Amino acid sequence: MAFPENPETRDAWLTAYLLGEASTERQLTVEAWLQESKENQQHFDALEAAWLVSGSLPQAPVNAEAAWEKVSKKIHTPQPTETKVVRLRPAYWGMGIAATLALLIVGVLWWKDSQGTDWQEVKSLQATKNIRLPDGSEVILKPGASLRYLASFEGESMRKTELQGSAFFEVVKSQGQGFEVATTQGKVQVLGTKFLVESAENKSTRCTVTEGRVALIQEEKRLEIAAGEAAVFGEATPEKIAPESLEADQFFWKDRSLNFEGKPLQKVVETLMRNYNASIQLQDAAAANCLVTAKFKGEDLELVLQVIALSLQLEVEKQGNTFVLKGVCP
Amino acid sequence: MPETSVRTSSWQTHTGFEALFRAHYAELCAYAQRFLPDLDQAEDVVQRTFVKFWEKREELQLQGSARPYLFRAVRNTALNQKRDSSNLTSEESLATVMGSESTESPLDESELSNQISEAIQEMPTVRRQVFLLSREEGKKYREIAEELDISVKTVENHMGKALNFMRKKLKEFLFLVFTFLLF
Repeated sequence: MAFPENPETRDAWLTAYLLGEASTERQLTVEAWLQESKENQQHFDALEAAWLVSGSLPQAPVNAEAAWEKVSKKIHTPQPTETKVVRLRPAYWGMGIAATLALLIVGVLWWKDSQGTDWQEVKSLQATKNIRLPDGSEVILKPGASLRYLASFEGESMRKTELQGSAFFEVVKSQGQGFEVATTQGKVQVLGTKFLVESAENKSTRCTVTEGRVALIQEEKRLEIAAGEAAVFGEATPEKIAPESLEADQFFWKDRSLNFEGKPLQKVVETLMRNYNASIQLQDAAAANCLVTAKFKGEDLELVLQVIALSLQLEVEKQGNTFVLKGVCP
Repeated sequence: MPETSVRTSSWQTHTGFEALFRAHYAELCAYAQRFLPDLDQAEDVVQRTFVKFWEKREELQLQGSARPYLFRAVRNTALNQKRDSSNLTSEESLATVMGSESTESPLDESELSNQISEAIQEMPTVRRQVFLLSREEGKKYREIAEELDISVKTVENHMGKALNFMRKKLKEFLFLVFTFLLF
């Protein structure tokens, strides 16, 4: 394939090459031509310069912050980084970790009237669904939930989303851009953080914060809560709620998280049966009042029961399809 | 108008380099996607380009803005990746860099901006439409062809003419420097 003689065709090829529109064959021909002389190279350079100078390309929906972290690591000697993420340690009896509060919001299904055309909607059916938002934020939808969000957050001072049902949010910090989850009863606004929003029929919408801070906004009223706290949208105003009122299995759907704080074994067993769809029995009725404080994440039932048994000095045995806890606690 | 670019000396420092990265990352990824549509791959290419750029920062002799250099480096890296052939890599190792006239005074910036607007206005209707769809909306030739109901070849020709026209119009504002770089 020969490089065209005609200057106009030549420019068409060079421009196509510049813009990624040239076939591999043409690319090679162009490159060979560029190698031939300085004048050729200069002409191309001038075209490229003119293009670069005449405007800005649209921006790809990327997370520059995360990308910078990666690049920064590669170009510098490793330095101790402060971990922002609080990892849940393996389940040991007696480890209490700051509880996360959740807000349950009672809401009727609705769709807010939004201006603007480019909204995406994602629904989860039987399984949880993960969504990656245009800014890199991650959302995990509980089964039966749906999320609407702007297809592009570019140029928005507030990254807006609308939620029905429950979802866990991991929001990345974006300079000059807030992040908002709207539900029927009110809005949750954050900067960069991890939190859970639960909205369901016949319940108060609830927000639990795992990391960072959020603001709950209802009508004109505003309440800020931080990691380890939770609040609901009340009658007329957001209200903080006590961590003790949060369910042990609040986050189970997301990552099999369980958080028992001084819970009677009877209740613990009920929670486990419900979430793991299993059959568990206490051989001795006296054991029902033993108190359990333990945290689990992503574990199988066998392990959970083993840990609980060990901590209470009980024994666990499988009889057929049923787990049996034997003994009494000291 | 492109954002004000970081002056040569400052991106040699970590802070300056970070600023450079943040200023151009999203745009470079969009450009890389023209060659590698998969965003993950595009991002990877851009990140590798920046890392290499940092490693070679002392060897590089750039005048003015680093942006044109970055675009070219991203393109070369992307093309090399696509081809997966080491022969071509060595051919591609000579890269010429050019920069726009680095100017501090706002007068020059707006003058350039005026020239650009004028140039765009001067173009015949269809050519202007094609150019804007490509430049401002980042559309591919095929999309432009469909939207304007013309052939891809026509789009190609229009773009070639448009760029050549811009080149002539903006001549005084383009400062060309040649440097051999190993990349």
